[in-house]
Amino acid sequence: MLEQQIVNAISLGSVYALFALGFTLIFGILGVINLSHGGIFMLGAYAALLLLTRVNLPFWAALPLAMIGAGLLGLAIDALILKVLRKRGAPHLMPMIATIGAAILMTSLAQGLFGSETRRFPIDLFDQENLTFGSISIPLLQASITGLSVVLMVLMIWILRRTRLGQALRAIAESPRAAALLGIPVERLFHLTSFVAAALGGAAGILIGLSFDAISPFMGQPMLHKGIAAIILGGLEAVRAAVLGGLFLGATEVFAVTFLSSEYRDALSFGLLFLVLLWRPQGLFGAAATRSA
Amino acid sequence: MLALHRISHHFGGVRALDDVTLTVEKGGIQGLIGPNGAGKTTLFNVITGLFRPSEGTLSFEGHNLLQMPPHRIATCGIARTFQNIRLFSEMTLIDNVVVGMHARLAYGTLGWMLRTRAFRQAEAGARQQARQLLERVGLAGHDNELAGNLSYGNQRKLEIARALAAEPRLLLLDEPVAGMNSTEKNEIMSLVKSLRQDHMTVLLIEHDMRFVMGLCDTLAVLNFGHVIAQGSPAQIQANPAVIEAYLGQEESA
Repeated sequence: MLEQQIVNAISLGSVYALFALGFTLIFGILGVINLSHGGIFMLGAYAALLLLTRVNLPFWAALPLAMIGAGLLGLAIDALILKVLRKRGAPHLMPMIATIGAAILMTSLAQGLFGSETRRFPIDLFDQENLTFGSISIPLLQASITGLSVVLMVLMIWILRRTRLGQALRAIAESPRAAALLGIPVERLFHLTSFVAAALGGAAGILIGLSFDAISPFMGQPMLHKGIAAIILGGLEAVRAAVLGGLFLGATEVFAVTFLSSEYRDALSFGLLFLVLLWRPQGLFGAAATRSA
Repeated sequence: MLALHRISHHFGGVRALDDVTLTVEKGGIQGLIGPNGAGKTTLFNVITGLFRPSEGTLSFEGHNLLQMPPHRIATCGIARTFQNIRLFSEMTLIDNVVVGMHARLAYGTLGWMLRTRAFRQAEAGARQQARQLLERVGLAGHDNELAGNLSYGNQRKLEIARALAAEPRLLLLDEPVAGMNSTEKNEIMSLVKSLRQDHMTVLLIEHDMRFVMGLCDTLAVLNFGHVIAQGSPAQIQANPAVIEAYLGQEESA
């Protein structure tokens, strides 16, 4: 029983972490709080749904295509909104408000196109098999969700830590101006970051849609709150914070449902957020450092 | 090699640069001096593309720099350091220097994805070269420390190493010895002299007169956005307009 809940916590937490990772990439590298990340998350799920049900693609093809679609949406938001504000040297509040607008636009667009009712992925997407490890049995669906999130996160962390591209991105996170003067094509990497972050957000949308067996135009907003909570819980230290905070939030929710009741789920996790802000503003896992990016 | 012609730049109503015409000849060390607020750093910001001047033309080895974003100007062969240091403080010393090589090392996407042999060799070569640069500026043996933990003087040295990593043809140094002790100043002086042997051209801003007079081949003096004098260190020291500009500053200070 407890083992099963731990598996659930890791599974849910890893998807939160994936969502928060995309959100934090934009924050760390572009220096923008992108409040349309929840909208991208939601449209990513719908894109996969369309590819699965209308185009009849298999899941392994629909997932990357929907991620590319979400990525292009993120790229469009960067090119049409954020870039314009950057060029104008607009204060931080402006991209935040502009992306709220983009999020509302996406939600009502989804309502108009797909209707307000909750939709589901096809039931036969994954075999109803279980993977059994000793006394724990993990449904194949849950194992796939966790596996995909972990693979995407490890890939991102590897790129950021170990590659020349990642080094350029970390340089931009610290100082876009200094990076540009060293010959790093900052604008191009802003676009790339927007694409990748949105693709990760779209992937998280698909995995959450699978995990809760529900897709709706309104799924983005609560997820956005959770993403922000995850990076604050983790400590605003970009990648590590997003991952640890996401896992922690997932665990809190699962255990709140297990030991209290599902009504208290959000009350507990956001109550915890307040406590962290009061007593440990650098986050549960963060060093007491400030970020300049 | 670098030619500014009738450059003006305004901040609101303030003329930070007013009709500045200046050329930097290849191979020399040229100094840019003047009282605080004279427009020296603004001039560097215009050359490196951070500011677009309101008027004038700016060319480097035949390229029109006014058409280029900062990262393109960097790849043309111009590197700089900052008056207020702008290192990547959360990266190691060696990573800071390797980032400086971006201007000339193209990073093919497939290369790093597949970790090709050529990519790994280039990467190893880059780190080796970065180590040599750290040694050259006097920071050998600190490769894996975080840049943010360095002393002020060492941060300046690291900034120079990072700028040199781009193998620029023109190096702009903005107050390279500010906050340094006299031993460190002498080290930087011989370092900049050694750049001349590498056929690098240097344009530097500095308030330390002993440093400037001992190092520069030619000087330009800026005051209230105007070039008020140009010439050899000896000519500048005897120039009445320059003496007035500096004495005037002392009075008001």
